Amino acid sequence: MQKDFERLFHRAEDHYLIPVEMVALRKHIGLLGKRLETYRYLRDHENAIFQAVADRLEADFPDEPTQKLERCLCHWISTLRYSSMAMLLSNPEYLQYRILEWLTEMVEAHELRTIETRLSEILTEHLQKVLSTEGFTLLKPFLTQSETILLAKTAPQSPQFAMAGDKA
Amino acid sequence: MIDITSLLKDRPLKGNYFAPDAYLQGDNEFGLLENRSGARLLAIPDTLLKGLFTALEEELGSGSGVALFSCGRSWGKSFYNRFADELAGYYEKPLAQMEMIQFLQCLKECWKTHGWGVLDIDLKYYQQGFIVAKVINSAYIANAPQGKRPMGFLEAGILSAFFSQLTGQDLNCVQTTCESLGAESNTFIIGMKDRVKSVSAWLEEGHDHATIMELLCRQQN
Repeated sequence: MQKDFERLFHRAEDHYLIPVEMVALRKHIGLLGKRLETYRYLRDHENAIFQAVADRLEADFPDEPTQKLERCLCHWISTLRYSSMAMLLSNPEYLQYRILEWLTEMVEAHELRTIETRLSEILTEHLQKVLSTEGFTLLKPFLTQSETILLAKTAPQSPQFAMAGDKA
Repeated sequence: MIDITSLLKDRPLKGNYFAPDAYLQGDNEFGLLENRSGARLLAIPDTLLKGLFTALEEELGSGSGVALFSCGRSWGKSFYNRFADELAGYYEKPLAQMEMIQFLQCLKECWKTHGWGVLDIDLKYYQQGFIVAKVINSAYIANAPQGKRPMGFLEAGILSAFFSQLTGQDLNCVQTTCESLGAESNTFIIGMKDRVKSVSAWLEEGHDHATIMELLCRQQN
C-alpha cells in the first residue's frame, strides 16, 4: 500500500477529506503518476541501462573474473528492481526487508564491496543521465538507501564455504 | 564481454523469501495465519510458553531439558524439510545448488521472521568440525525460568536436527551461554556427538564459551 495515501485514507474515517487533505491527495496522485512513469522507464530500459554499466565496469576492472562482475551486476539489477518498486510504493521498508537486509552479508562474504561501490557510482551517474530530473529525484533516496546499507558496513573475515555435507 | 540479455535469461533474481510483509499471510476473519506458501503458522502467546516451561519443570524437574531437546529435535527435522522445500521452490533450484552463504542468510531471516530471536551462524570453527550459533532475544528463553541453568534446550534440539539433516551426519548441539543467566546472547556449539560430549563437563567446571572452544579445538588436534 502506498504510504502517502494510507495516512490520508486512515484520517478520513468519519469525515470527508478537508480542503488541505484534498490538496495533499491531489499532490500524491500527481507524484504517483510520475513515479509510475519512472518505474515504466526503468522496467523497459533495464537491459540497456545495465549493459552500459557492465561495459564501464569491465573497463574499470579488467583483471577481475567475469563471473565476479556478473554476480555484482545481478545484485544491483535486483536492487534496482526492488528500489523501483519501493519508489512506486513510496516505502523504504519494502526495500529494506525484501532485499537489502538479505543481500548485505552476501556482498560481504564474497568480498565484492570495492566492485559494488564502483558499480553503484556508475549506475547512479548513468541513471542521472537517462532519467528526467524529477524521475531521478524520486528514485535517488532509494539508491542512497541501498548504497548505505549494502556498502557501508566494515568487511568481516570471509570464510571459505564448502557446501555442507562434506564436513561439519 | 558481459551480455546483460543473456545474463538475465532464465535467471530468477529473487530477494528475501522471509521478508515479514510477504511471508506472514493470514485471514483475520477466520483466525488463519499462514506463510506465503500456504503452510499454517501457529502464534504462541508468552503465557502458554511460560506455562509449558513451568509444567515441565514441575513434572520432570531437571529432566525437562531432555524432553524439550527431544521436542526440538523432532520439530527441527520437519522444519528442515519444509524450509528446504520452500526455498528450492522459491529460488527455483535444488538446495544442493544453493550457495552456503545464501542458505544461511535464509535461515537467519527465517528465524527472525518467525519471532524466535536474531540468529547468527559463525563458521570460524567449521574446518575444525564445529558450527557456532548465537541467538539474541530468544523468545523461548525469555519465557523460561530465569537464573537456573542454560534453558535453550528447544533451540538446541532444533539446531542439532537442522544441521544433522543439512550435513547428513548425526550432530549434537550444546548451549554454552544463556540469556536466562545474564549473558548477552545464547550460544550453541554444534558438532559430532562424540566431539562435543565433553562440553557439559567443562561447563560444570566453570569454563566460559571462548575457553571451551579452545579446548575443543585442542582436543581435535
